[in-house]
Amino acid sequence: MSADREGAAALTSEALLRPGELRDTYSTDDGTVVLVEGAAGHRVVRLSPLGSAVLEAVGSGTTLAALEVELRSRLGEPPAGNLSELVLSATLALVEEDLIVAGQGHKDDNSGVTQP
Amino acid sequence: MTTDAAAPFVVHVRALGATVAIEVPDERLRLPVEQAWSACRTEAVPGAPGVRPPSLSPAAEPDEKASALQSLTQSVTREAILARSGELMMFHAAALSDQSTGATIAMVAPGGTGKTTLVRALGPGRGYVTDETVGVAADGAIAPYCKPLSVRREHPRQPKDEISPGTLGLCPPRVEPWLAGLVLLRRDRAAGERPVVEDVGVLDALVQLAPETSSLAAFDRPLHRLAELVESVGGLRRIRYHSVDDVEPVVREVLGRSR
Repeated sequence: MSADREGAAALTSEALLRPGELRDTYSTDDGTVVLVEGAAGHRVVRLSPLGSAVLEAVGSGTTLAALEVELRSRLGEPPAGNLSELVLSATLALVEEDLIVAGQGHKDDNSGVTQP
Repeated sequence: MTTDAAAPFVVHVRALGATVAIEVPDERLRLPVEQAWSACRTEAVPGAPGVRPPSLSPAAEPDEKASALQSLTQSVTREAILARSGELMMFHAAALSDQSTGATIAMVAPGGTGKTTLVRALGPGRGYVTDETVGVAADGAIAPYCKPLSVRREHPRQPKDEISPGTLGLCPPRVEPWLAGLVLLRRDRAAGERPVVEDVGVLDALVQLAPETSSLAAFDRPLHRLAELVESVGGLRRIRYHSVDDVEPVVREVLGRSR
């Protein structure tokens, strides 16, 4: 099983996605780079156009299913390929780079919140 | 008994615009430290961060002393970087300046890829700014770090020798250095192949320069700060070379620039 497929298996449609520790974002007409704080320190990552759209659509947090709906609304169907697969692939790449953190559970799950 | 007998032996050095106090308890290291750091000596500053070389064994051989001096250099570098974090944009780079104008080229490269060799070969007659870390202020002024050069021996497992710039025919900058050009070094051309000098777009420049910076994240909007610096010198260029002679024309061109 490839790493992508392993990741795809672990990333369910209800998995909560939120941005990683992004310190700065710099964009030009040619694209976008992000400074991210990961386990191995700070790194600068250059985003693909789809990666940039995914990161923007994740906002402060969403699920994979909601992300796909949002991107279909923003970008429409791709001229080639399947949008679901493309979004999943781009999301996994961003998770791999620590730009997105994927957690379990629904975004409305408050089980981690300390109650007074 | 006098008070002086108990006073610690301390050498104060200027590094990246910060003063670092080197305390040398072991008499065997005092003269080597004074010699190696002669180009950086400065007045004492109260509260300056302090470092010490590692302790030597009673029967220390020359290699152990060389290792201690090498370790000391690394400690001074760390303290200086820490002291200027968030103030200077700092690169792993060698730098040389023009002795009349201060125009300076910063040659960015990871450790162990030939920065010291380049400085030794191309530095005589120019200002020796550093062979290790270049610190650039927001206005482009460079805080020199005229540290001892860490010279590799023939056997790679032996410690490097910390040698004063003067011993190698190098002089500190005579006028304040300022950043005139920024290049990324890649020694990946074979003997006889022509060197390649290529422009690097700003986004790729950020990706390639970031791993060679220290304390980048200490800045507010660090990528914007780094991009501004890159654009202020006309962009980043990558030099793919084999021998130091390949780099000389670029150094000459950058040092000929005016502010």
